[in-house]
Amino acid sequence: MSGLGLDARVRRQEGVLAQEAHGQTVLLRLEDGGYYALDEVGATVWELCDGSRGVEQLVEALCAQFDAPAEIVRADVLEFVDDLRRERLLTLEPPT
Amino acid sequence: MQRIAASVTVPLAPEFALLLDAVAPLARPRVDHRAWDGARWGRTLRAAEWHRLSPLLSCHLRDDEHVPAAVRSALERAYLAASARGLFLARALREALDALDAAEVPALLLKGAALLGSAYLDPAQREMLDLDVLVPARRLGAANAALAAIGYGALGAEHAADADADRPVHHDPALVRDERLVAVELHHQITIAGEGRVDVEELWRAARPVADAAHLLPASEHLLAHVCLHFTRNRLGGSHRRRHTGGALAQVCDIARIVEREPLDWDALTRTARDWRLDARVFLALFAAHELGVAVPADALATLRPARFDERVGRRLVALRVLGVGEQLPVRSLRWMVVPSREVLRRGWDADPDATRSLARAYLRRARAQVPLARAALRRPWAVVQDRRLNRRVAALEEAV
Repeated sequence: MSGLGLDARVRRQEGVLAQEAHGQTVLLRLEDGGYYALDEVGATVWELCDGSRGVEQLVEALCAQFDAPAEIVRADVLEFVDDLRRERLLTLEPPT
Repeated sequence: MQRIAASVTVPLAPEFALLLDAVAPLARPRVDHRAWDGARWGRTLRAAEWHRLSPLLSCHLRDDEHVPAAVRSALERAYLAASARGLFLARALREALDALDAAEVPALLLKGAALLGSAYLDPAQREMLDLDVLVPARRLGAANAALAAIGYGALGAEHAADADADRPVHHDPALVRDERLVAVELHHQITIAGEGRVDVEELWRAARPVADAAHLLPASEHLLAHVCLHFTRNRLGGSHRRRHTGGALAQVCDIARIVEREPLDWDALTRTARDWRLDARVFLALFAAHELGVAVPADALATLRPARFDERVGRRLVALRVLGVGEQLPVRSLRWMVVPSREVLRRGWDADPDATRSLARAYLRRARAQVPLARAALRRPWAVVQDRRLNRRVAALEEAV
């Protein structure tokens, strides 16, 4: 993940709008009109990405919410966050 | 007023029956789609797109296991695209309204922008092409300046919403930003010349406030009258850009949602339609909606019904101008097609009305734009004859009011 560790803070990119749409969350990147749909788990991660948490804290929150093993959740979250970062929907910031 | 159980008397192709089940459900579905083949679903997807109902149909069929996965997927894509566009439009509208508020220009939302704030629970189900905002005529200059300050500028004349308008228009040229994704139309009136006598001051007096916002929404009755007026105008007028049937069922859906969800005073609606001299236009839209299953009260229809109205004409209007897919030549008159006025060429096609060469060039541009539709009409000459007859009968109906 761009050389940043699990304690890197994850923040939603400015200029990305989100809206719940019939059980999904639609993200719209204003700079070029690109849009994406997130399922329930993806939407939960998106909501948690407010810049106050690192990836490891996301994993802890999701494990508690979905009652899933940490190693599986961690791998999925890393992949998901990396996807969103590459699509310019999220930014990673150094830990405070 | 009593609501009556809606009935459907117009013959429906199966794909339209399914669309109407999404628009205005009846106690029992109009059609059983379980055994449909791919061709039928293909026609349904085309009809949904033409009538701007793909997002709504997506919601209607989302959990239906009898719908082929490819169809559900295509509809889902349309729904998500509408949702994303809705996000963009909502933001653009908020910015425009903030700019108008900062310039102390009162703003009253019209049509889709107003409907999203009241009649539609899920904004993605209502595709919106532009944002219509009514501002006081004396504040149009300030409104244009306020939007210019946030990057909006006028489109060229050829891109105006109705390039073939042969009457004075009721809004300034559409304003767009560089990305050209959304157009804002600043209205000072909701009718065009020769189309009723709307009291704009009454629109403002009856407008509803919006919580935590400076802009206003039209009274429910005014909103419905305006949507009906547009429905009928689009069915009767048309231009090379606006086909008779394009988006017709989306407008029927607007009527259905207003009837279903707005606190309507039907007596006030009939009074408004009469006072504005739009009885026939409002009636035709409500009649069409009722024919297609929208629960319009029978006594409201009876009150608005023009004395010489023949139901066969109304049903013909629905069959020819609503339940169709694809391009048709909007038939007005031979003169309009062949000999457009200088005003049409000036307003819609950027001609200098005093320069013969400029007029000739505009005439050729207009003719070229109409060629595909003229070809389509020549392939179906009987439809053109029917269209002309229908126009004459509706015109006679309006004159009789």
